[in-house]
Amino acid sequence: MSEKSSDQIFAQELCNKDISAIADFQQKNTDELYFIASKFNNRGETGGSWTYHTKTGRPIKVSDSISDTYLWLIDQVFIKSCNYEGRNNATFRTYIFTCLNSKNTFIDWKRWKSPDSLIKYPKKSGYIPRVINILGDIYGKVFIMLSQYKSVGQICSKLDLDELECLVMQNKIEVELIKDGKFHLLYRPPITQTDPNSDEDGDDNIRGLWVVDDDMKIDLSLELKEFFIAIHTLIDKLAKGQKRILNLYWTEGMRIDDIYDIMIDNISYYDDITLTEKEDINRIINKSIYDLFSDFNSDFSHLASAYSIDRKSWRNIIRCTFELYNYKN
Amino acid sequence: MNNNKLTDELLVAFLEGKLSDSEKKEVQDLINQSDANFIKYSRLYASYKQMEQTEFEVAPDQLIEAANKKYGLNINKGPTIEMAQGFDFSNLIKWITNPRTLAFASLAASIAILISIQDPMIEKPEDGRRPVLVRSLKKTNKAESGLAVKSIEGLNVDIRNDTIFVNQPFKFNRTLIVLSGSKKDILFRSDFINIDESFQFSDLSKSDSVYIIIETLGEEVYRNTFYLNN
Repeated sequence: MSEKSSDQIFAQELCNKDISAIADFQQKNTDELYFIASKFNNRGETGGSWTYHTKTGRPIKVSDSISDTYLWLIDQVFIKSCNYEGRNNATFRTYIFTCLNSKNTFIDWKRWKSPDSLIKYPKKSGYIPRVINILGDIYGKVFIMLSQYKSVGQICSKLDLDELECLVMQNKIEVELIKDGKFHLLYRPPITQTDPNSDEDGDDNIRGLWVVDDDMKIDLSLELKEFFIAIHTLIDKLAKGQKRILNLYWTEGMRIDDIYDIMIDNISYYDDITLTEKEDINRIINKSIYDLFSDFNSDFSHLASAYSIDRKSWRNIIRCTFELYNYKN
Repeated sequence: MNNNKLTDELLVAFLEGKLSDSEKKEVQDLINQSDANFIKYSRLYASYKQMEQTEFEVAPDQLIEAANKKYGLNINKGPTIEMAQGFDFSNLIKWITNPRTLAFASLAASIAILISIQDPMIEKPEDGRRPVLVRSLKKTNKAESGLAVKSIEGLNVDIRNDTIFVNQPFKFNRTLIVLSGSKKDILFRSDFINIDESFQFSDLSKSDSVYIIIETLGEEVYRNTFYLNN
């Protein structure tokens, strides 16, 4: 039997919640834990307008949520330490922080934060998009009720509208939301086989399934259902490399630099793309959208003319379709 | 590689470059054989790269105390790796170019000029040089954990609201240094001479804690941590 490495021993101590090991771990890694706790509390994102530290170096008062997340992360350290075997010479510290900082742990965290352990998407509010607001007050009211999963019958009754009038409004709202790239406010796609969030963790537990309650089915118009089926059909036809790039860019929210590094390392597995520089990722994204748009116009010409979708709207539609698999509340 | 399952640990070993060429090829095949594996790898890759590239800020004491309480630990945060290995000159540059530091420096200079104009009879230290920043930082870190209040007799410091009050037994030229609670960042530094001095800040009470040092002729004569939000 081979002798255990110091990493294996330390991982085992953490797995057993040994007090001195916890103290040692925290003393050496508290700044990293703080970073991850802050990131999770900022929608799992970094950069942009959010910075987790004060530029002055002055200590900041942390919120209860960050403090709770920090303690939750330490609990995760215990759990993940038990899965570390030291088999492939992976450094324990790299292992633990790569796992903790990953999107998988972020999804677990969101589930933990949710009172019923379910991840809800999208979050409902009284928000009315501008494109609906300008149609008039009555459209705003219909939109709110649609987003609350009320049926057309219920809406007609509540607002004292004729059913046909209501259906026309519904379809108008749907069309405007589609063009503005905001149809996720009404629509929830089914989980597909390529849904990255139906991934399994090391213990074979399904993580991050998107849950729809039975009583929350939306009463979409038939026209809109047909429209979405058309989009999914087109996306399914995309070549592997293109689809993966769009997934990384919109579903995973990754930067172009990271996508390039990931794809270039595995470029021999893709025959549909060529990469020589980072800018190629942008070109592939744009070309994919262009190809999808051309196919939409040729394969579903009746939908294309009915909805009068232009290039800009089309990009929004594709972006939303990929983003909908993400948990950006 | 003993199995063909793409575990997190195996992927981390792959990212760290710890696998042989044949193992690497095997992992690459696994990554690319399914969308689920590809996304799993991509997420770990993004996480790994971010942890490598991020310059971490010092965690607030409040978090450490919360963990200590939950797990029954009794430790203070140790010096960071960078600090333990020596002073990082790039931090000094950042500190000097920080607008807040410049504002503090201007304030400190104004106070010093004002005092010297108003009281020409003040005795100057024999050696006019001020202790250098590096020395102060190193000294602070050597005296790391388990510090009690250290002070010469009659030298008192108090913090009320956003003001630091300093009282000394006789007029003497000393230096007040205010560090963050983690002792990593110098927030303020100023010479003073009067028996009773006060230094007002705009948002001192927003800090969790501060660490105060007073030096006389380059020697530390007072040090204490003040917890401001308890």
